[in-house]
Formats: sequence, C-alpha cells, structure tokens
Amino acid sequence: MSSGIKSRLPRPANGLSLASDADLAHAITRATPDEAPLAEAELCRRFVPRVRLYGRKHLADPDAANDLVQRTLEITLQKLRRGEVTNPEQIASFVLGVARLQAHELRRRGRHEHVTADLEPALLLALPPEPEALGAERLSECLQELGERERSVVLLSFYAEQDSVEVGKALGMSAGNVRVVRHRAVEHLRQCMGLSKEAP
Amino acid sequence: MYGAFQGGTLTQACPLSTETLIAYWLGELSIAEADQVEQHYFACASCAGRLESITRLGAGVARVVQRGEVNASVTQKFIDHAVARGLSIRDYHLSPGHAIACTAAPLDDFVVLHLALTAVDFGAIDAVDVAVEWTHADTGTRQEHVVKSVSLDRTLGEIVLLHSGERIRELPKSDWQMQAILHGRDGDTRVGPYLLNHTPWEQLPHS
Repeated sequence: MSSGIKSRLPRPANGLSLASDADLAHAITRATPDEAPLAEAELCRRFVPRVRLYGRKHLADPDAANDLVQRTLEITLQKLRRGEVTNPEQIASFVLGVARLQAHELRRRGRHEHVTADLEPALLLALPPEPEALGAERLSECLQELGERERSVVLLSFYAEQDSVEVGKALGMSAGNVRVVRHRAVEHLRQCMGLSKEAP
Repeated sequence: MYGAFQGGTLTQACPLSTETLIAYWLGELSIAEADQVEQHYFACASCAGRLESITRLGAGVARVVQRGEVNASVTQKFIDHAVARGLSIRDYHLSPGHAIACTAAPLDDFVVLHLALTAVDFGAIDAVDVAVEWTHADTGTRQEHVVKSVSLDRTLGEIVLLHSGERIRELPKSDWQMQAILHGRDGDTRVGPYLLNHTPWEQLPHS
C-alpha cells in the first residue's frame, strides 16, 4: 500500500469527494479492505453518470445504457482490485475504453443476452438514480418564452432529430446560424429550468 | 468545425463549449471530434454535468411535444416525425383568400395550419410575421396580435403552425383571419387572408 496515496485519501466518506479520480483508483488498488469500499463507491458515483451518457449516446435504449454502466464499472473495479490497470492516473480513459468495448459487445450480441448478475456492493451504493425528468409544464412555459425561430430550431433538433444542416435547409438558415440559435436557446432553457446552477 | 476544436485537436481543455456538447449529442461531430469530447467529459465532472443537463433538456422537449403542450412554427418533416411517434395531428391546408371550417377533436394532440405561400421568391425573404385577427362568433369581441419571426418551411413553401390541441379545444366558436407579412429587401409583402371558422367539436352536428 502506498502511504502517499493513503494520506491523500481522506478517511471520512464525505471527504472522498475531494480526492481526484486518480487518487480513488490508486486507493482501490492499494488501500486496505476497510477503505476500498468507500473509494469504490465514490469512483462509481462519479463514473455512473458519464458511462450512462455514453451509453445513451451510442446504444438504442436506456435499459441498454444501464447494462453498459453495470458491465463497465464491474470490469473497472475488478481490474483495479487486481492491480491490472497499468496507469491509474488515466482512470477516466480506462473507463472510457472499457465502455467502448462493452458497448460494441452489447450491440453485437443484442442486450437480451445480458443477464444481470448480482450487483457489485460498490455499484449498489453508488448507482445514482436516473436524473429526474424535467417538469413538462415548466419546460413548456420556458419553450414559449423563446423567440419563434429559436423554438423552431429546438423542436426540429431535439424532437425531429434533425442536424444543423437539415434544419438550416428547411428554414433557410446557414448551418452555422442554426448552431448559434440552438446554443442560445439551450442556454436560455437551462437557465429557465434552473439547470445552469446544477451544472456550471 | 466547432469552437473548441482546431485542426482536429481539442485546444480548450475545460470547459467544452455548450455548442460543442450539443453538436456531440446530436451526432454532428466527426468521429475524431466525438472521440475527443468523450475523452474530455469522462475526465471532467463539470462538462459531464453540463452534457447531462443538455440531454435532460432534449428528453424534456420531446416529452413536452409528446404531451401536445407546445405551439410553434415547424416543418412538414417535424409533423411526419410526430405522426410516426403516434401523435394525432389534425391538418388544415389553407390558401390565400379561401375559408375553411376547423375544429379540434377530443383526442387530437395538435392542430396544424399549413399556410401556402404561392408565387413568392423565398430567396428574397428575410423574415416572416403572421398577423392574426380573432372574432368571437357570438359576442363579436375582436382581438389582434402578430406572431413575429415565424419559421418558414422552405422545402414546401409554406408556413406550418403547430397548435396544442388542448388549447384549440378551449376556444369558443370563432372566426380567424391570418395574413403572412413577408419582410424582404424590397419592403414588406402581405399574403392572405387565410380564413378559418372554428367550431368546438361538441357543437358540430355529429356531436
């Protein structure tokens, strides 16, 4: 066990939030059994949302994204415990690499073949709930606060799933202008929904 | 392509611009750019959080539309997408100078007005407003307003106005007159009127 790593890792659970991702990775690899579960839980707490985002982007449905979260973090924790992560300083890249491979595997096999095993204790502790759905009534009000053109661009982008080139072609705008309008509209909606305070 | 990239390299370490995160989420980045965005947000709680807020907004917008709770100017492609996702759409196609009867049925999620713009040089149009005049059929009460800067579906050459079915169902028997005001380099042109006679569903003879 590395005393240096250990000393950087605060013992109280809430102090772990100050440790870097790399510190947590080192701690899981080298820490004593009583410390490891807390470090594992904190690492999972941090990476579950990131892997879930990746899964939602690359896989077809939210359940598949949740499968990906579980597989990715289980493998990450096992590799860390066995000391098989060669560079814990780059733990984020390692997790991303595992997520990519597992997403490929899920797509190849089809998610129905994945049978959920017992969850890792750290995952059970750390799995943050799905982000709460935004209040539709409030969001509807926020949408109506946008200018007509901004609202059109938001609906075509996020509902009709058209890219900036397609939206621009339909509405007579350049793709660059669509991106600017879309960005402005999203910032307005984030502020209107109080999301800009949650995630600066 | 995007602000945070230059020559294929992520030059601005943190935070990624919101524009880049939106483009990533909507699949507009090259594989190399998307790869760099992923490398970044896996190591950056702030950017991951901001990306998550964008995805929540996107999902929220889709939910608002699926609940029929938005009014907007859109495109035919948007309407096709809504129909494909199971929404009930009542379409009315209007030509200048013609009147049509309209209503909203109990299960209509949206009522869509297609205002045809004929003999218009779309390349010369900078902006389009729609002037709306509404008259209560029983009391004669009149109201006017202008919807500024509506979007124009240039693919089809029409204005596609999406109205919440629930809001249309709240309207009394009324007459509507609309005019498209086209702002161009050579001044303003008015197209219309587009005339609608609205009758609440329950007051129609079949009810």
